[in-house]
Amino acid sequence: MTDAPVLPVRSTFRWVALGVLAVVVLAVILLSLRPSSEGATGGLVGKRAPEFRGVSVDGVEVLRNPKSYLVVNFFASWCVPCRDEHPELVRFASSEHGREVQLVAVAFDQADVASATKFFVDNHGTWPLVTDPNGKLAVGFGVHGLPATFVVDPDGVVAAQLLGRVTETWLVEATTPKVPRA
Amino acid sequence: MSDARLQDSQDSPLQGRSRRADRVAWLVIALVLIASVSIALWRGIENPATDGERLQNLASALQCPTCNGLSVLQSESPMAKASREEIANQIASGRSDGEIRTFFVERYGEKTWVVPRKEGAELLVWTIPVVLGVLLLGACVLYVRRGWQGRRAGGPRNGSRSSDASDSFNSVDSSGASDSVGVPKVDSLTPMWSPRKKLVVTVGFVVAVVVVGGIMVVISRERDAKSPEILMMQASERARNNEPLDAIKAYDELLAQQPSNARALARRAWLLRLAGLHHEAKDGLDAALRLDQTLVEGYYYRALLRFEDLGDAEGARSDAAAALRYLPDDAEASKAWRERLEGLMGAEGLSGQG
Repeated sequence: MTDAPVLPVRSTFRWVALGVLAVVVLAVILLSLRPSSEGATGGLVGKRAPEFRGVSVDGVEVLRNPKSYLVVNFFASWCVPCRDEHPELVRFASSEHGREVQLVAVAFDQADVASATKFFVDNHGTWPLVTDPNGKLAVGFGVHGLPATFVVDPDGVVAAQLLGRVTETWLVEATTPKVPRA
Repeated sequence: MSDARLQDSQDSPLQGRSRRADRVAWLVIALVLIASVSIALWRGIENPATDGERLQNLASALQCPTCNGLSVLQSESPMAKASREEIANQIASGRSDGEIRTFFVERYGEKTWVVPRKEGAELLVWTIPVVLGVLLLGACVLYVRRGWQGRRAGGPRNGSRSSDASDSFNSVDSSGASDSVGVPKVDSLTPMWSPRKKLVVTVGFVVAVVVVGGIMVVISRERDAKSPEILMMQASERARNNEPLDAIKAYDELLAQQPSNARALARRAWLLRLAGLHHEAKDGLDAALRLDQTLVEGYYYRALLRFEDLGDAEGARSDAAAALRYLPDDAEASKAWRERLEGLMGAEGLSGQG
């Protein structure tokens, strides 16, 4: 029997286990440092907007007017913040600045179109209300909560987007060219 | 004579039988492993991802935008359905998986993609399980090897089992040295496991592989549980592959889930028309267009059917004109439909009338 030093197996496994644990902890830390999702606010800003094409609840086809800003507001009648923001949209639509802007509402929930239309009519909604039967518009704009508002500039680029209540001030600012157009 | 042969010739009958059993067991394990890997590779090579599989993979990797914790494949919310349809449309228009991913990431952010990327820190999510798996496998192999071959027991170092080992067959060396690795003082091997235990371990291994494989097959079948979009894509593929009956079956499955799917009704009707069932096809197309009055392909199919099979040029013209009113948003698709419809309207016997 020799007296050479012996490395116990248990000790080896302990080191391996510690190494694995260190790697896992490192991975968790690195993954948690991953940049957070920008989906909530700025996903499409600065990018080309999806082509806007819808049919209003009156059966009229609604297309983007390339000569003006387009404001697309996704809402549902059961959404409380949507109801809250509605007076702001009404004020904006009736303002001088707002009249130069193409404002369109999209009934986000297909099962809610009738209620949405009633709410819209009862609350002085004068701009087109379009339906989105296959959710194509909502997916195209990346809607994942209500209300959601997107501003498309005359070049067809998304100038601003907001998940949550809009205000008249925000709408005016978002639909004002940053650089005066030639 | 080689050492092994020399060793065999020196083994007792019991030890020789055990050694042969060992070899057979290792051979079985190797064969099972090779067969499993070969089948997996063969399936991968023989069956490259079809459009339906791509849709399924992408939909299962994309988090539903409006429902927590579910992928768009699992959720039946309107947004999930719309997302599946968007993926299907983009696949049909020839976009790559990367482009489709970019489309959704641009809109919903990076975290919307349930499956991490294979780059940067997220690469760790892919590599760590592999590293852990290799370590676990290594530990299992060491454990089995020690049990199989025996623990090292003290004795003169001669590079082979000592004959004493056979005397202590099935015995466990209780000396402290047996728990050591890379120890210069030990060299002989004392088998620890009886042939019965080795048999149990071998059978257990094979059963484990079969059970794990079976579970994977079941999971895979469950994943294949068809969503309407996947059925639609499969039906289209089968129609393209000239398998109309299989395509109709897929449409039937789809329509059982979504009786009001106008597109499926129209495409099914078109397949019936190809089978010569003109009136059934006409009924199907009428039903589809009642459900969706903007369905361009429905009008196109009905126009063709009316013109070519039913001799109704006036009806065909009217359908073609209706289709032109509802061309899709996508510029390329719109152009293709316009050309098709104008080609039809310019056909002899249809143009210049009315």
